Amino acid sequence: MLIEDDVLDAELLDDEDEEDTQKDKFLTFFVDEEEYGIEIRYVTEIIRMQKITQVPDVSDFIKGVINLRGKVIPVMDVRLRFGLEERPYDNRTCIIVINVEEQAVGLIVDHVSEVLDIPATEIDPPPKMYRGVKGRFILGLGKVEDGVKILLNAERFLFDEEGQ
Amino acid sequence: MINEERRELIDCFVSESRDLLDEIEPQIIELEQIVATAGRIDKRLLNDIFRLFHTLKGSASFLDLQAIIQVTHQAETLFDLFRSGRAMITSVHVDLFCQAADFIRGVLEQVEREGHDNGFEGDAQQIVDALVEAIRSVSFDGEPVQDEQALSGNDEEIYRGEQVPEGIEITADLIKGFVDEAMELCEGAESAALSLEQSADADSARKAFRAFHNLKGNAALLGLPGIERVSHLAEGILDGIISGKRECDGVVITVLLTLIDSLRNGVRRVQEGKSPELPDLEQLLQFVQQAIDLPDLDFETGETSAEKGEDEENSSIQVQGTDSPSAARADHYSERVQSRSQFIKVDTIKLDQLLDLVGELVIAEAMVASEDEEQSGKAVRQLNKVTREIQEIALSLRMVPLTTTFRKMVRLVRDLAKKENKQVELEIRGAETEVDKTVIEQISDPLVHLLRNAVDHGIGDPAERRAAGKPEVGRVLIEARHSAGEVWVIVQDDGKGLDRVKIMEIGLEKGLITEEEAEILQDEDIWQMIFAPGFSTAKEISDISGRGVGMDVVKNNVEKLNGRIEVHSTQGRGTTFIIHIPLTLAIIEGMIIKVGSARYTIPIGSIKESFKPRPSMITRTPDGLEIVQLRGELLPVLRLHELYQVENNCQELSEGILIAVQNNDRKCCIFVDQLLGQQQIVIKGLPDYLGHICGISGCAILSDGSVSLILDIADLLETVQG
Repeated sequence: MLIEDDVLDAELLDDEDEEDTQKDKFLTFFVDEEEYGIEIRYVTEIIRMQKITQVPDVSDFIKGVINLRGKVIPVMDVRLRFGLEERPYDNRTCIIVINVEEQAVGLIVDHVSEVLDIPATEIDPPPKMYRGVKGRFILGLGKVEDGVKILLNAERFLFDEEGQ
Repeated sequence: MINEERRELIDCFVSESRDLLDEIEPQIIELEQIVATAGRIDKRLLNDIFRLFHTLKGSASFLDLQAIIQVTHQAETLFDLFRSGRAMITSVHVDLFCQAADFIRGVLEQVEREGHDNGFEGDAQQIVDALVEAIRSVSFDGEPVQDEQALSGNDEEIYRGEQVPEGIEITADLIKGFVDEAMELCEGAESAALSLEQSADADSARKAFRAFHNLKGNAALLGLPGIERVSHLAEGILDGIISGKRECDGVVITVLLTLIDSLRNGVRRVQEGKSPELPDLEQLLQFVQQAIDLPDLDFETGETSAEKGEDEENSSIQVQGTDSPSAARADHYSERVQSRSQFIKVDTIKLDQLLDLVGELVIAEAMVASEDEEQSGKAVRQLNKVTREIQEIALSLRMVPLTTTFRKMVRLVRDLAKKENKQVELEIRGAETEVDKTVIEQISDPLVHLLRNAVDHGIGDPAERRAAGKPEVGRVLIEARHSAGEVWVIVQDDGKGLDRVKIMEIGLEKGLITEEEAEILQDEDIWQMIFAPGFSTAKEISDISGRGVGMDVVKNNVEKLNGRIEVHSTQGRGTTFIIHIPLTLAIIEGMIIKVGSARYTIPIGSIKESFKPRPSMITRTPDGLEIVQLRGELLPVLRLHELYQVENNCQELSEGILIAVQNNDRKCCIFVDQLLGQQQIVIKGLPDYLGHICGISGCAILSDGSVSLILDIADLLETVQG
């Protein structure tokens, strides 16, 4: 299911200022086999794959920059950020544009899934055993009917240096 | 709380009022000059200023800002008297108006922050009183308030007034006695302060101290708290000097002189029967506080140690010539000039043009969208044209004339000149020249510093100038003009000029140049040294203090704008600073190059030439460095694809293209696959998220919507050549 830009934009952006309607809402997406979630308040839009201009001298997970209607923003391959294998982009590959601390960054994900309501009571911290790579990016685990979504801590996901 | 609607009104009001004040100030000063030279009043100018005050009052009353309403109302009334020819404007009035303008600015700052003018009532009352007094004195006497010429004094003896018993009735005689004595004391204090600046001897300091002490006592007797307080302040400062706790530098002397000036004003006001005697006391105290660390000023217990041990001997006093006397003042200006709101004034003509074009754009879009095959070529061309025009207009919206910035300098130069007893005429040319808004923000500081230097050190005092065979009135010129894709801002004085020998001495001392270099360096290179950081702390270059105060600030700001400064100076004839700034910071002419699939942009300004090398031109050293010989010059080759690790098509140098680039004296040849052509590019910053990337200054969006990185040749050369 490919989400049309306009539809999703409208859905997300209409309520941008209304904290309440954004509360507990997560945009979920697939990377590899897992479904991840990111708080909707960070998400500004979802766009299809674009032509990326490579930038030298940056971390490998930064694929380069794109032109988003006249604004140049960096894009990050979430697979590479998680230390997973790179995968050729296909027609379901999307860029989720998020805005954290005034910085707009595009996240390349395998495909976008849906917007979910996960109340705080249904979010557990990762169990102590959980030692999966990049565990520090995790905000918590969201329990929903059909399983568990890995919820991301957007700040850390963008700004944590490798290996810290 | 301020609701949004009021917020909007306030923002408008503040920005508009600042503009009005910016207009008022130079006009009042112009008026003063006209009156001084021509001896008559310029009606048109008077009407203009009157109207400005009136407008200010009107908008203030809309927001019910009482402090501003009252002050502007009185200013208006006073101006009405001048306008109707019932009185002549003098420099006393001009000072008063300037004070009022400063006061209003202060109020505006608070209004902008907090939305109300509460807390200014007292200060407003003082200024209103001063204005009312001025109105009264001119309308009743029909005589302008006397200026200070009448004052004569001897600084030999400090007259000690008889102690008047407490509870005595204050008679006219008593006041007259006080005034006479106070003027003498001021005179004495001033000459002592000035000689203190020349050579710091404890005697002068004590002499000044005694003068202030006596003045304080006399003022207390007559119940003049303002004068009492100011004298006490001065006494405290001198006490610090005498006891060696405070260094006696230029700033302190300036403060003392400022205090003396305001005391004089106060005494004069007492003479004229006005009250309070020091309307601008609070600002004065604030100014002093900002300029120097205040001595422990417990006014009530007010005993300073020097009062107890006045005849302490051999106190050490140090004079330091490092600070320019007006440093504090000029910094105050640069602050004021800087605190600008984010509003921008746009000519409505430009906005109308933009709207028209947007209308055209809508039509063009409709034409393109319609499926009429025949029309499509035409429609695209039309769209193309409209787009380009919109781009042009959009960019010009950011362009603002330098008028306001230049006008602010009028007051600065007047105050500086007055402070230093110099006569300076400021000429402004090309103020209507438009520059990018960023330039406006960055240029005031350099201008303030350059003008301050010009007046402080460039222009000599009248006697000095006479001796040098120049007219007594010094001339300072600020000019802006367009020149080949650049804006030039010129600051020129006809003063003493830079001193090559002394600058070189300091350059050697600071290790900026070597002995050998000193011999061969061109004047132009020598002058550039004054911009080196820390150069300003050097000992005297010219005879007052180190020329070069804040010059590194000047350079920094200009470099932020991708500009450069050119200096010309002839000893004895004057100095000219030319600031070169690119016309717009948003657009540059760039060459698009291709390396593999990546496209980079090189600013045309950095490119010397591009050529296809013949194999015979290339030499390869054993360590793999490739060198190309170009008309006898040997240039290293930089393979961009290797540096940036992109795949490229051409491996052999002779297959691709070499671009010779240069920054200052660094040169190299960049090896690329292909030149894609030259075009104007809109510069965009790199996302902050990426941090600084070596050799990349920003990015540009190409015609197909993709992003091209702009090479920063200076940075690149520095990286590869170390």
